Amino acid sequence: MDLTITKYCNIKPHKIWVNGHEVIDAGTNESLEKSLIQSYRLLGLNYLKFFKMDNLSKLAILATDCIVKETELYGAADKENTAVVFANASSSLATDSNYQQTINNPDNYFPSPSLFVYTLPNITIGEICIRHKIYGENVFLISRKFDADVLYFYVNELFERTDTQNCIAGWVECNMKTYEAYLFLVEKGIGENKFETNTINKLYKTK
Amino acid sequence: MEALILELKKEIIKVLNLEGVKPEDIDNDAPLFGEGLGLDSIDALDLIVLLEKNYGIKLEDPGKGREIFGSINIFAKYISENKK
Amino acid sequence: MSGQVLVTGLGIVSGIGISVEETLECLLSGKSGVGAVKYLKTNHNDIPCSEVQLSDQEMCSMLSIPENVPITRTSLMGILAAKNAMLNANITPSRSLRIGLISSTTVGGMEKSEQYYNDFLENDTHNEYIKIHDCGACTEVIADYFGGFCYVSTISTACSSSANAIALGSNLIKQGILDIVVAGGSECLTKFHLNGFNSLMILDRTHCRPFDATRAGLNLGEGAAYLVLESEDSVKSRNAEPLCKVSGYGNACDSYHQTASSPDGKGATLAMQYALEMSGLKPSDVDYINAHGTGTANNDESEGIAIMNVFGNSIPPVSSTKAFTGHTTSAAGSVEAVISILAMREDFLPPNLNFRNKIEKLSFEPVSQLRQNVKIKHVLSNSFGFGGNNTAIIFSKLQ
Repeated sequence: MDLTITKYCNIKPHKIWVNGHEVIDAGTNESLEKSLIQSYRLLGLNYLKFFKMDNLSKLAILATDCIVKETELYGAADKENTAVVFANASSSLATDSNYQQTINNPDNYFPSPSLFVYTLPNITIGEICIRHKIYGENVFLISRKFDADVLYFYVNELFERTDTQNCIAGWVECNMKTYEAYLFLVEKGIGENKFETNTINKLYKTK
Repeated sequence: MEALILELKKEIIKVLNLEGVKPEDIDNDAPLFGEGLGLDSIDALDLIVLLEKNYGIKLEDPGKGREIFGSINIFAKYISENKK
Repeated sequence: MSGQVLVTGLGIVSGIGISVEETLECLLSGKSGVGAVKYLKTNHNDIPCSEVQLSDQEMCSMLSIPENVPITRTSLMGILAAKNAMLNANITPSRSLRIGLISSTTVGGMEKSEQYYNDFLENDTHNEYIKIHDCGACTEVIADYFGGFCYVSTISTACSSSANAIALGSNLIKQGILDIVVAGGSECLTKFHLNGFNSLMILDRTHCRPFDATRAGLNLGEGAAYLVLESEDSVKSRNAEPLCKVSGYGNACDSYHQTASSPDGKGATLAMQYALEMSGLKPSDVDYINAHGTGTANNDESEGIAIMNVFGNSIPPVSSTKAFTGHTTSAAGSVEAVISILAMREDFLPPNLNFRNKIEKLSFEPVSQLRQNVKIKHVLSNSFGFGGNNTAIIFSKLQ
């Protein structure tokens, strides 16, 4: 089956690139969260739920919006044949740590439900799916570092086994020190960026 | 009561991350859930935590939250009657 | 590629036993593992949970792991269950086989980290636990205990994790990448998620009652379970005896809320439909559904509606076994896969404990009493994770 990467997005503090071109420079910010919020404003997004999310989900929302914008995936229709395959190294560890603060001190013990909700990496996928009305197969894989092979294998097999028509896949990593996202849109057909491990790696390393 | 209402609005905005909302934007009688501020079930749980943390009122039954969080006025009245 | 994915081994540890035999005994006798918390050091002693009845020291001793080796409870339970699964399959991982380990967890080493959190910040007495905290590390510790796995990965999608591990393992075999996959997951109880679920107000202070109209929430559990999945060629070449096959699976997103399921059960409906499609079965071919059935007001109604969507007027017997094992979160998919396969192997329907009153909106009631001598050819097992990650797997007897 011919598959191609039709769009990709790289995010590192404090910039966003789409298809290799810089689209956002959020400037230097005191915190990761402020950097993500500034990027949201510069992208002109209008989605108030963004502000309730943890940093991992905020990052994924920004990256996904960048790649689905101006494609047929951007819209209210239910998408049963769009899949989401994410991976990272830290799972939801940064949020886990924030939640832990709310139960650490027995004299100031107030477990936070809204923090607890985000102590799962796949909630991030849930937020993407809710925003873009995506109902397809979705998975969150954890590995020590970025692994193009496993992403290639999983996505390729998904297209072969199911009726998946397009897939948002990639690396969404957010820990206490920094964040990094590299998402790509895989679709059926032939294009400039043939979907294979070399291409996945090449586009990842552009930034 | 006015001071409590203002304090409550500021706390709700902060705790629930209501971006861009100012205290003067929140109508004291408007529903907090559904329409109005459009809060959801997780927000309700956060308000239950706020009730205990800031005002010492422990709510065991999440179902009761629906009445108490009906509007800012109802919420403030409940707090002033039950505050520890 | 393709060809069938066969199940050649089962391994399980949970509140109802540390072996397949003990688990079967409890299921047949109605003995639940839910009770007062004994091993986890928590102040919440009014919250019933289901714990594996072994301390970490006891597990270390059983596995001949020296006491001074830092290891997490999640990894210990995982090693125990994986070991039993491989013994059952008569397999030893080695580089001469193309054998992989796909494990799952959410909490990883959290139970040790929350004990030693202040030490991590203030001194160097327990730093060795930092390295083995995260999800991937827990899997690697399990893999390293055995050695010989040529492919290791971790899935972390909350309560559907280990079901997804079984699906991924099956895909790897069908694609010809691996011949054997040990797939499943492990999760131990922690204060972290006990408090977290408590803050969401979805824990029952009494023994849970899935699918009951008066249900008041779930009981948390801990456990680990693995299936040994194998290609047809591998089974033939070593003359192994398969227990059943993985005939279909499906995954879909409910796309509704971070922690609640949709009123129309769309994600669950799609997942079950995809599983049926892959297996080539009609809904009426399914003989038993092992439901996700957590006992929360939200899940059971939503899942019930999804079952009605898919099965219409021919709803097979349904039961949730979470009142036996508690909700073992990331391990639930594989724990309940083992239970589903046992039900099929031993011809019985595990009862849905504590059921009394039908949920009004549903057209069916769960199986509330043990039923034996029931021929089960195809069993469907549901596992739904927060974030709307819904997975359904069908296991089938071999002809």
